[in-house]
Amino acid sequence: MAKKVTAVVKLQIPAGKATPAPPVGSTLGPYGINMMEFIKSYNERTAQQVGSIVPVEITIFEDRSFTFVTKTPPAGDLIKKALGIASGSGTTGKTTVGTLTQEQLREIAQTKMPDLNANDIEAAMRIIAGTARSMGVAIEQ
Amino acid sequence: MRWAEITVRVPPDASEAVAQALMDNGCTGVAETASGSNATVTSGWLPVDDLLETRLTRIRERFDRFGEFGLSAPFDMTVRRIADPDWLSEWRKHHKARSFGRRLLVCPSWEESASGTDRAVVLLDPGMAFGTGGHPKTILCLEALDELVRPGMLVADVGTGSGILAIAAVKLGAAHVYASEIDALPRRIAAENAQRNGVADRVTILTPDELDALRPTCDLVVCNIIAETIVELAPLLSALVAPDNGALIASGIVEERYGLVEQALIQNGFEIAEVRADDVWRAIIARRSPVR
Repeated sequence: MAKKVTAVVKLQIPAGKATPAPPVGSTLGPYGINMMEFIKSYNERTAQQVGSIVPVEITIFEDRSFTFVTKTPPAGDLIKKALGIASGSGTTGKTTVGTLTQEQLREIAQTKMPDLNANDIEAAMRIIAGTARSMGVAIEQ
Repeated sequence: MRWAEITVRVPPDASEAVAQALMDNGCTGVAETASGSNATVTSGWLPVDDLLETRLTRIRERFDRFGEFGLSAPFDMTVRRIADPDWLSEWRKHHKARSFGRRLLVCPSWEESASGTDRAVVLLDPGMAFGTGGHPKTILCLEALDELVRPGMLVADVGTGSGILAIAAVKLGAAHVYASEIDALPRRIAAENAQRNGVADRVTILTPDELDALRPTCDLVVCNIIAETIVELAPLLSALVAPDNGALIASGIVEERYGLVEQALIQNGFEIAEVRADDVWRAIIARRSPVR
């Protein structure tokens, strides 16, 4: 389809739980797309993944129609899943919420490799390790 | 409710950590847009309440420590307060009823112009990109249908998408439309749209295999896809169009692909009656060549 693209927007939102509140409303509203249809379709498509954050890339065309594709979960979500925790530390540096093994780190880096700006797995692991530390997660040496 | 919109310009290696920092501190999600090749802009929203300042402080504190975690620090962070408009109805301002040809009006369901018009009204709410009447290739088809559909005709709509052309054909007088679509989601949306327009009993929605098996002989066939697919489907289109004066509308053809489609249609027993253009798009009206 050769329609002109107005914008490509990526949202990270909870699977099956999109609502017209921000970030969906505040991001998509100004583009004049049928938001209820996006919300309905996204929630339908991600219903099996409730409990995860499922990023979605929305392409908006000049006639205000749109398409979307879902992406791999964000690194933070994969880290929390690997450790079985609900959230990162609200007070980074003061509390540690878990420890990630090198094996878990490598696995998450491999999953996220296609979405990361990293040339090799070591660079990807550094990004994941940094993200984990910023959430109050220690890395096993 | 009022919201605080937090916008952070982020180097690529820190975008995951920034998104996570916002979500760990109360944002229910984040939005990301590209900002040149070396940065993304990540936005998060927090309700303006008693917790706001504490949350913003924690977010800033975390960003300040990114260097310790081996990540680049965010370039900058801004916070502004926004009202919470009714986003659900806001988008409707952008969509208006549109007339096509002499007889058709394509109209969003909330527009009042649907009543009190003597035009044939197709109710269609814009949404996913399956044809909402805004694209030149679909406009060419709507205008051609407006001229060619006569009462009682049997019509096929190959690649129906939202169902807009099938519904328009019925509204213009077609007795029945066989509408095929390869993807399940648009098939469902087309069925809902036919229902909403009160024409569900006159539109049969089929998979491509079902249409191929059925092969109804039609007075008019419309195929609004892309050139390559029309070429591929040319034998089927030829089988669907009634040999005695049946017509085909083939659209979705960019000008540089026109020759391919013309050749395929002629090889499959069509004569090109007319070619219409809108920008780079071409639509062909073809008729079956008389059997010699």
